[in-house]
Amino acid sequence: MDILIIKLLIKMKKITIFFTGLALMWMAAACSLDERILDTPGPVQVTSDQELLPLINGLYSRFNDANAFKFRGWLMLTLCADDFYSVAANEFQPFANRTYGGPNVSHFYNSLYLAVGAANQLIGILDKVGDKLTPELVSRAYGEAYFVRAFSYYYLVRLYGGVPLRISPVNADSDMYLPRASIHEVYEQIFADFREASLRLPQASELPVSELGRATKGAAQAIVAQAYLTYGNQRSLRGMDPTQQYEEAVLFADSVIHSGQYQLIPNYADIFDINKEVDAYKEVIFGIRFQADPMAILLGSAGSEYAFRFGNSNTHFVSGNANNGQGDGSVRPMHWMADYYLNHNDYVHPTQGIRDYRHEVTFVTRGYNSTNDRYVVPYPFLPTTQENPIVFPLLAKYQDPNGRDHRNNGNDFFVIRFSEMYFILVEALNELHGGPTYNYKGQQLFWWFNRVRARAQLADGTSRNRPFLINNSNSPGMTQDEFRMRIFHERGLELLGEGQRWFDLVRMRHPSDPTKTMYEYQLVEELTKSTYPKDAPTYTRSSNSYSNSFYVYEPSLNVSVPKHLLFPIPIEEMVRNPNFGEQNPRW
Amino acid sequence: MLCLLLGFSDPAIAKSGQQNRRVRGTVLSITDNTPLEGASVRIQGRGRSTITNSAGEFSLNGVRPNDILVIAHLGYTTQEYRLSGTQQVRILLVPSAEDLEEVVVVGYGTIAKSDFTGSSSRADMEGVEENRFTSPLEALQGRMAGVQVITNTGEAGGGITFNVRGVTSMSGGRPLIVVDGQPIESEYGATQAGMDLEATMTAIPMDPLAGLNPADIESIEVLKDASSIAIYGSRGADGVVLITTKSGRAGKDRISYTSRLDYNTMPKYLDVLNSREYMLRTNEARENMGLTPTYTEEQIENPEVDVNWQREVLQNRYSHNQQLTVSGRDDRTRYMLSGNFSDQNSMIKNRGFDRYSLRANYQRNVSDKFIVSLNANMAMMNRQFGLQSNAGAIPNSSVVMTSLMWAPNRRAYDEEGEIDDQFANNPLLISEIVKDHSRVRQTTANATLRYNFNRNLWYTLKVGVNDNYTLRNVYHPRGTLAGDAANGVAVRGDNWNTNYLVDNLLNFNKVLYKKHRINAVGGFSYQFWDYKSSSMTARDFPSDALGYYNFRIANAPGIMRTVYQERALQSVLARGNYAYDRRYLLTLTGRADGSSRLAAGRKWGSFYSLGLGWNLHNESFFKADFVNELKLRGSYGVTGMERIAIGATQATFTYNMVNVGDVIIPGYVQSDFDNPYPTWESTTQANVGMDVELWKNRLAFSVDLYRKRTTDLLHNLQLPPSATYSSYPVNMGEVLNEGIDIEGNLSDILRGKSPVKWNAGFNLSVLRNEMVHVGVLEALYGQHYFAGGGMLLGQPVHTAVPGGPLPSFWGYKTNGIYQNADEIAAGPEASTARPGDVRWVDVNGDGQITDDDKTIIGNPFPDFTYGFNTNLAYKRFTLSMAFMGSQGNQLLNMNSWILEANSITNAFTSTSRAYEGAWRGEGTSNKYPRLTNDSPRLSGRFPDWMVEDASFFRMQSLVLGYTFHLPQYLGASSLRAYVSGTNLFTITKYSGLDPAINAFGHSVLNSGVDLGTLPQPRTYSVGFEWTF
Repeated sequence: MDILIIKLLIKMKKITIFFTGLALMWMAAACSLDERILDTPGPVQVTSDQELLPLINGLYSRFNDANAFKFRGWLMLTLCADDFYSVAANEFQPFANRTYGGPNVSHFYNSLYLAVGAANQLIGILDKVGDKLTPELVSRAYGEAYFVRAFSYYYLVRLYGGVPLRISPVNADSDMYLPRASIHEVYEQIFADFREASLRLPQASELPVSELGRATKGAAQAIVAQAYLTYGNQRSLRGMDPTQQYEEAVLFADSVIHSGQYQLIPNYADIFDINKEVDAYKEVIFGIRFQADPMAILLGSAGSEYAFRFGNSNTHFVSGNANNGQGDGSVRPMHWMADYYLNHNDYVHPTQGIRDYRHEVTFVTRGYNSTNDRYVVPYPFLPTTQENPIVFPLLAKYQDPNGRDHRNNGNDFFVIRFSEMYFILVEALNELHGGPTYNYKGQQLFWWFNRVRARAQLADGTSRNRPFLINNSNSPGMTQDEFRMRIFHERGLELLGEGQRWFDLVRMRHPSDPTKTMYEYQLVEELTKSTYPKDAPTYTRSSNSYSNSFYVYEPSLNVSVPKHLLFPIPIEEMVRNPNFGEQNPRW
Repeated sequence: MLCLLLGFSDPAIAKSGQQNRRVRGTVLSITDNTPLEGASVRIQGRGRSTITNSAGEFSLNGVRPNDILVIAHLGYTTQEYRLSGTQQVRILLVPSAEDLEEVVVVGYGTIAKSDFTGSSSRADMEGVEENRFTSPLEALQGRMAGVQVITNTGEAGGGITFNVRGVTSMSGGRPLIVVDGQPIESEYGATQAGMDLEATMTAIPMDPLAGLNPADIESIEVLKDASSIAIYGSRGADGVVLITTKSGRAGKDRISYTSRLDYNTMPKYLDVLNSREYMLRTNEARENMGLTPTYTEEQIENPEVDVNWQREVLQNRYSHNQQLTVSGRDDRTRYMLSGNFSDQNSMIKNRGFDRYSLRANYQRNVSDKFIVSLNANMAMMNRQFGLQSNAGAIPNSSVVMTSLMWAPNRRAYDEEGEIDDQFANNPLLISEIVKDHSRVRQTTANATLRYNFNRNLWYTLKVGVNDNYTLRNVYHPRGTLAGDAANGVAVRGDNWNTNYLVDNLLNFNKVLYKKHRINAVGGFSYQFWDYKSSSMTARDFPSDALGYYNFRIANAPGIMRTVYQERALQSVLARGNYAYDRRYLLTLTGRADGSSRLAAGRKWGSFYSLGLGWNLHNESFFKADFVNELKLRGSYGVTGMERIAIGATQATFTYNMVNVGDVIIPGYVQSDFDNPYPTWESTTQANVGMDVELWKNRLAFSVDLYRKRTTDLLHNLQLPPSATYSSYPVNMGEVLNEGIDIEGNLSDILRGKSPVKWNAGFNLSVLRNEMVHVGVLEALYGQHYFAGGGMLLGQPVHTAVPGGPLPSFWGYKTNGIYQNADEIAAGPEASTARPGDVRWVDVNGDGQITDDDKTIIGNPFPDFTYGFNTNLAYKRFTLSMAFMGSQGNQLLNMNSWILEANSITNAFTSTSRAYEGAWRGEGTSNKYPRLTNDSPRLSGRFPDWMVEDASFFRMQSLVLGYTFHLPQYLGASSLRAYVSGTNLFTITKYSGLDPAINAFGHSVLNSGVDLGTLPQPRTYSVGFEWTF
């Protein structure tokens, strides 16, 4: 049949030639089928130093997302411990009431893995094109990729336990379905990556302000010190020898302390002053940066929402909320925690009264309500007759009256501060050497511990004598277990609302049972006692007093161990990864 | 397309201009030039007539110039012929639709129906404009076997689920749409503008075919089996739809004006709580949780406010449709010009859709050999969108959803009678002050040059352009959630999709040695697409007055995002159809396609098919006279699909904003990795069928059995988070669709002598869909619902597991309600459940309720679907009715998750049945749980009872018309007036607003959901058609 057509075509002479020519012309117009991508960058385009920078920035870009430290991940870190609660509905309630499940905890998991992916991919690109770029820049880029990968896995392993360990760039031939690794394997990778990072990253003093938020040598060393301590704790809880890990923790903490790169900012209040944020980075070793974002709003913005969440509806000018800059009070410190600053059972001391002036910086002492032009005074402070009480405490560390909208403020999330280096050092040495009188570099552990307290005494800029410095004379015979408790509480007081408490609870040892965690002690044993009432205090104007103190939000005690020592593996991982393995215990 | 219809006139052989001359002529059949005996030839309006002899010849005396001859013959279309001084005429008659020589429109040509070996369905679109159908696809609902059409929502111009013989593909399964030989853009993305928008701004896609005016369409042919589809190769796997537009008919030029007025009404409102009940419910829930009541008895007994939000926002509206058509045809030219204005108001206040369209179809026989034609359609559409379904976020910006769920004790208007703006997202505020306007401009035009080498062989060059431009502007002022947060937020997004087509075709059609009939086509085709779009979001406006009209005044004018993509497809195609003695039929088809979107080395794919047929009735041994046709046919072949994202095979980055130093800058993050593997998805289909026509065509029916196996499913595989990428394109999995299509027609049921003409049509489809395997995975899952907020579900409710359909609904089985402590103690939630809680079934028997207990709880596929229609004509009256139904399909009623979970979080209301049916002590209820303030609601588990039977039977249309014959002096030849109804009633057990919707119809894996979805309106219309 085709032959027939061709024969006919041949007969058609001129007109045929014309049309065939026309057809061929159109065919020629049909250009190649090679795919051209015009609007999307690809790794092939990384050919110069300048083109590497967006990739490096990309490493950090997942952390300020709403799924991570901006909101959903932050909720996990903040509401699941024993020091904050929420009576708000929506996404707060499941955490505050311990009714969360796989769907609630998936966002942070996804974000952290996306950061791991960015790090792996950058390493892959550097392996390929690194020799064409400036060596110093390449070295630092490797360092940042290792840092971000280690940082992400460090959060993953603490929140979710052993997770699949992906440490090479993914391509079409990769095994997409890795089984979960043990926590030991994950920690080994974390240590290796942080060590590699610390060899390549610049010192904090070499970091220009325009690069604030990027990793430094100190950041790698500080976090790895904490990671060693954490892993040591985990080994200890499992009956394994933690000595080597504690020693590494001491080594890295000491290295940061003596690096000369950081200091304890003299005035504790300045750390949290939004207008002095850049200066705060003299103490803040690593932070997740947020800025009021003019280009996006709410959840999608690059601003943080801590100011709004910790603020309250009748304290105005604390956030960028269009409505008088008020907060929504959805995340509140527990009353018992606020009271603990005032009345904690630190050591037997004859005098009564305020135990720790850090509370003046940590909690809102007085707020302004512009609607009725009145000042409000939150618990546990007492209002004057001109002022209205707020019957619960409010955290004061995050405030930004210049934010763009309520979920779009400038407050950073401080991942690790210099003061914590002393805690890590002291805690690891206490575990290794059995008590606060152990002498490290010519000083007892008491002395190292008191570095942070001495600064706390400057909470309002002038030196006062609270909190007391503890020593062998006012705390004679303090045991290792007692000193651990003291460190635990001191961390709580110094770092309230900075995302450390839940980790402390699940890693540190129960004061009397080496197989249990501080989580069980605090949430199952301590806070359930009758000394912690379950009815919120009420205020009486006539006596200007609260009806009770040390109130604990009861739904937060809805705990189950070991279930709540880890978050569940999110449903996306469980249903899409047939090789993953077992879900976490009891989930 | 009956494009062969020509009346060639011989050169004049006699003097013209004289009166009362004789005319002589021959009447021939156009298909094979055989003379037609017994054709009647009369002079119009003069009563003179004659009949042709055995040689097809006739002669008539006393004709005048400009007389019109009317030539009629049984089985042929009656034709008019205007004399223009010619004395000797030659008239070619075209077989009428009822004739055996009816042609079937197929890809790149037509073929005699008796020679056709494939399976296709045809819908004659005559009269569709008398019902409220905005898009041509709507008119196909219930009309064809094996063709599923679901209007995703009741929004005019809204998206339409359109599946031919089941769902073969994970990526959408849209059939290829070919209009007058030109494949046009029918993907949902064609009309979507605006990228990376927040959930409150994302619009569900509209129907990309809404720019086609149904009244311009002559017929729609849906090709279903491999034999008919394979000529479209890589683009045919999901079926091919050939749309033929109208053109001029022989006779004098015709002008017609059609006007229709519609009254669209809400078919139903949900029964939700009034204010008193709502407050009682809140108090009861709080009491159940040991909390103090919110409302006092005084407030409850004398509610200050009692609003039925549905009735405030969803209202009955008038719409109308106007159409002017001018068409005509003479021996060398045929044309049609039509203009249409359709103004469809949505039932959502202030929302709607309108279309202005202009069509010009023109064909000119430059000479006997050279024919040019142009088919052009230009449409302008305005879409005022009212947000409906919104799976991802807090559904507060959805005007439909808020009207269903908003508490009745919030006032709609303040004391001054203004809409109360004291609470954000007052549903009235959203519909009154949110502006969401899309303007869509669509041009579809093709020019065809045809050169006839002789009567049997011709060459065609077709050049076409299909240009779609959408501009969307959105403004959320203060008073809305988004607007309050940003001090006013505006979005401007556009989307400009253009594709160009060049076809070079050679057709051959000849009968050789009387018994060998050959119909062949071969050619090259090249198509090129480019996609350009941009999007910008500006915030912080000093005032809401200018809305989205001026971005410059925004304090945060936003960053522009742009997309610029292109792709191409090259094809070589051929088909040969051979019929021996009209008895034995063979069709061979092949096509090779090269696609730019696939990985290098895997770009080219070949597709083919084989079709066989046997016309039993033409066998000499076949004696049954009452059987006019009995054809057995079978086909087998492979077609493909290459629908993946542009750039999916290459490593690419996307960006994510990051704070570094004191600036917010984009950081590049990975989005795709190099992927050298994606290639064609292929569908192998076998079809056996039978066509029967009995009693001179009085009963005609066809039965088809098919089995379609789709392998190497091309889709974006969702990866576990630990893979560090969210998805990547793979060829994985296999889907099987098998079924039976039965279609039939009864014509002239009461025989020719009865004054009543009665025709009827019916169809029945049975389809079984099975996901045979999903590659390395155990299952695939759909999207997540309610990612945040008090309604958090945060999990997929769809899955596709081997052995089940694509998709199934996925959730938890329930077994009533825990009635007492003993039941709880015996159950898997002994430590956590309380009496009145849902009793979840421990499916895997491990003694606890976990994610592992999720199981299949239904699927959206019907057991069978059916439709029938009937037309009655008595004198000048006509009456037509169409019904359709679906049996055994289920809908996942996601509204229930908000309205029937009996949790008071977020202060949303409830349906009355859930409130009244709540558990209130032992034995009071075994379905709806006790009232609580639980968050997450129902422990974050989706219960099986929110999947409902959505079988339905619907009266789709009713038209009663009357034609007036008008006196000559009025200038009009006829006036037809009619009343019609569309979606007049629906019988269903489904508790929602409409059982025949599909909120996420644009996504196969998320089919069968009702979530704040607007129902189809019930429409009453009146209209007329005035013809000159």
